[in-house]
Amino acid sequence: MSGNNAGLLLLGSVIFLCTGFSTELDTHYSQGLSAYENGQYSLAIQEFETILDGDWESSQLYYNLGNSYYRNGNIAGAVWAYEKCLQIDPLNKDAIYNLKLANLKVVDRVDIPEPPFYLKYYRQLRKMLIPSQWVQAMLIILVFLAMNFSVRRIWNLNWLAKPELVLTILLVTSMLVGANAIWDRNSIREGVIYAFEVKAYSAPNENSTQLFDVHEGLKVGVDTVSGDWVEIELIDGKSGWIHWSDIRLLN
Amino acid sequence: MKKFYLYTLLLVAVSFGTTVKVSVDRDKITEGDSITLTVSVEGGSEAPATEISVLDNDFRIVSGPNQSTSMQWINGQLSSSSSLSWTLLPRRKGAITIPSLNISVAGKKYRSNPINITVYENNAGTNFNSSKAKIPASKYFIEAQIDNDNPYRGEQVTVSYVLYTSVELTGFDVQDMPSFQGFWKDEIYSPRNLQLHDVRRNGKRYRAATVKKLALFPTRSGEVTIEPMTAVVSVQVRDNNYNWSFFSRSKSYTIASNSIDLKVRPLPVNQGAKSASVGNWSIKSRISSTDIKQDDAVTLTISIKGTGNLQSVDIDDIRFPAELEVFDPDIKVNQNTKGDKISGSKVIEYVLIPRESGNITIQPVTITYFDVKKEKWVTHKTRPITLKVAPSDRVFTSTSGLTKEEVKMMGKDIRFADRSQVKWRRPGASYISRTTVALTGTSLFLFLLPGILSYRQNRRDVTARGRTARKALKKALAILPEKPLGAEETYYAIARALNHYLDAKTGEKIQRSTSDMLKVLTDAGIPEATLGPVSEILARGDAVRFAPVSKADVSDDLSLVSELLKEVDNVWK
Repeated sequence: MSGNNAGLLLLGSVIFLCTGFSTELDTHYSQGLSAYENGQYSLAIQEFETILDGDWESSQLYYNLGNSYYRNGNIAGAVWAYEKCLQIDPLNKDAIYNLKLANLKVVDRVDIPEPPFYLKYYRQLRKMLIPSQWVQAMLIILVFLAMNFSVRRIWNLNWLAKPELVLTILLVTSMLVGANAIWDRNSIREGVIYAFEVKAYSAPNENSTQLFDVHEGLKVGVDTVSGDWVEIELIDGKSGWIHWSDIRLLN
Repeated sequence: MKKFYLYTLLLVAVSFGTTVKVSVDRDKITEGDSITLTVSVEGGSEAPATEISVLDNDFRIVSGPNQSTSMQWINGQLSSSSSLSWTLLPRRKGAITIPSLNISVAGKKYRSNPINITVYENNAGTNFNSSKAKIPASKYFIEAQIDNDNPYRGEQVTVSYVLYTSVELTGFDVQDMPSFQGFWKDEIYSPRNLQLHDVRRNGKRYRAATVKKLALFPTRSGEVTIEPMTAVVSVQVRDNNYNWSFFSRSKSYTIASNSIDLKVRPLPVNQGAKSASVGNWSIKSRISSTDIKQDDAVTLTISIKGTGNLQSVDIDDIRFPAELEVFDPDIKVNQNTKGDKISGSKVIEYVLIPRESGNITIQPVTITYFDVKKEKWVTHKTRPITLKVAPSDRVFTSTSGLTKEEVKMMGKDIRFADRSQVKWRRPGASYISRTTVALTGTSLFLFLLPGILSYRQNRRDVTARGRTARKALKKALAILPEKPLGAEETYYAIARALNHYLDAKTGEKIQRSTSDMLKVLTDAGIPEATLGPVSEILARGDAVRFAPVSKADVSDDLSLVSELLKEVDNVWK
């Protein structure tokens, strides 16, 4: 029984370690917030971006950065920040709403056909947690399953077999969904067009054919990166090369 | 005249009491009147099968065959008869012959003789020029009249059907209207009750009523014929065949109107416009507002008024400027119900949305039609309309393609700043964190826990057994006597010591025979070098009761056994 106590101790210490804090971050963040509330949107953007440069992020930071960009008239920045916010907190209603508003001001409109209902439900389920939370959920289920397993085996409690089956199904489901979420997050690269109007070329040089124009704030898929050039793909399937500086990547 | 004539023309055959008769009710009629052809069989109840398609050339069959069967007692004998009758309308004037007909009754074939009838011209009709009319004018007839027998294509022709009668009619029913092939038709008058009034016609008094009135628009030029209409009239007949009858009864006749020939003139070639409207039209246009904002809708109303074919009249194609989004027009037709000429108005409503700001001019709307009175093509046009379109207040260049939800959101503001407690994290953090490792470790431990616990239990059991096993040698050696006793006792002690040793080693306390003990030792993997002497000693022990053993041997065996036991214990851990 001493092994069990050791496990609990380890769990407790991990939780303690996760709640670390930094005061410098808070200074920048609160200065950014008060600048935003005083209408100094450029200053707010500067403060918030400083935090991002320091390699820290949070859903609230992205949300407030998005608001600052929106108020400052930078639709591309707003779309980018709201999208980032939703990557961390996919169910943030305020961010969803503000992103919709920002997208209304995007010149290019791409209509996505309605997916079949089962795909829609699946995506809603997957959206409930971000990839890292899926991993955690899976592990918590795993812990419960392990507890169930060991209790059942030690005391020979056969009625625990059913909960064990349920937990196993939950575990497999969360593993599959989580794996799919992580796969998508890592394999699908996206970005937001940052320049007002961008010409997309057929090859990564300016002498090649101009294929189409995209405008600021449009979310595009990113296929390949070659030097200063990025190959983007629109939702409707068109793809072309644009300058690296004209896009801000989402991941 | 009021006598009911039956001209029995032929008695075809009399066989087995069956008589077949073919008859017509009248052999002299006026144009537009009909005759009734009857095939009757007396003495048989079966209907005669008659081939009458030979009549198609000269007659129109307006009704029939009508079948009737009757049975009656005549002079104490039952006689039955059945008949078929048709109402026939002559297609032409003059002498017409009903050819012989093939009739079969109950498998027997009969052939009738031809019947001659005469159709006189109706000297009360419009084409009254025959002074040598053989019979007086008809008592009732329908006359078709048109107002214009030489119209242009698309010009309205009004056709009226008027019923004239000099006798009391008890009933009138339109039976068949012509198909009016080559015309677009519109009924303009069709009374539910006939309005009879007195008229004089060729010095004769009639009561007349308009039965129907239609507006016809010829759809092709050249010679066109309007077929006759047919109607059924009922007149009162006093039956003189039976003197005792005081009652009058009603009899129905089918009558037809005259047919009309028209010569439709083609329209002269119209240069440019592709319109085919005929009549007399005027055009007006109206716009709901000329000072508007971009993306706001305006209504352009074009109304056409006049006489002619209201359904088919149309404006010339409108070329709208490209800055306008044009929706499909809404068309309303208001037809005047009074008068013989079809007139009214057609209102065409266009909804227009300017998609750009600035001045947008809608060119005049034109209508081109053929004026029958002037006998030439006429074009009317409206005044041009200029829309002053102010730029939209909306920031967006286009509202098209937005969903309802998005349109609702337009003009709304973003939500407030989020001041909640911030949870900081490193961007691009690995999915493997301390938490995940801890959770994985915990669960792994928990999975292994039952195994660990049962292993430890097993070990405890094993060591407990080991302790007794380790003591086995000591105990076994203790059993052996220090000095050899009698041969029998010594070997007994040796066997007991070995058995006790095996008890401790295997954990089974049983009495073993010599062979059993050897088997256990062999299974434990004791080498032959050790096992051989042991089995020899045991064998000597077994035999000691029967064969004497020297004292020296007993002593040797005793010391050898303790050595062998030590060897066994060395090997068997």
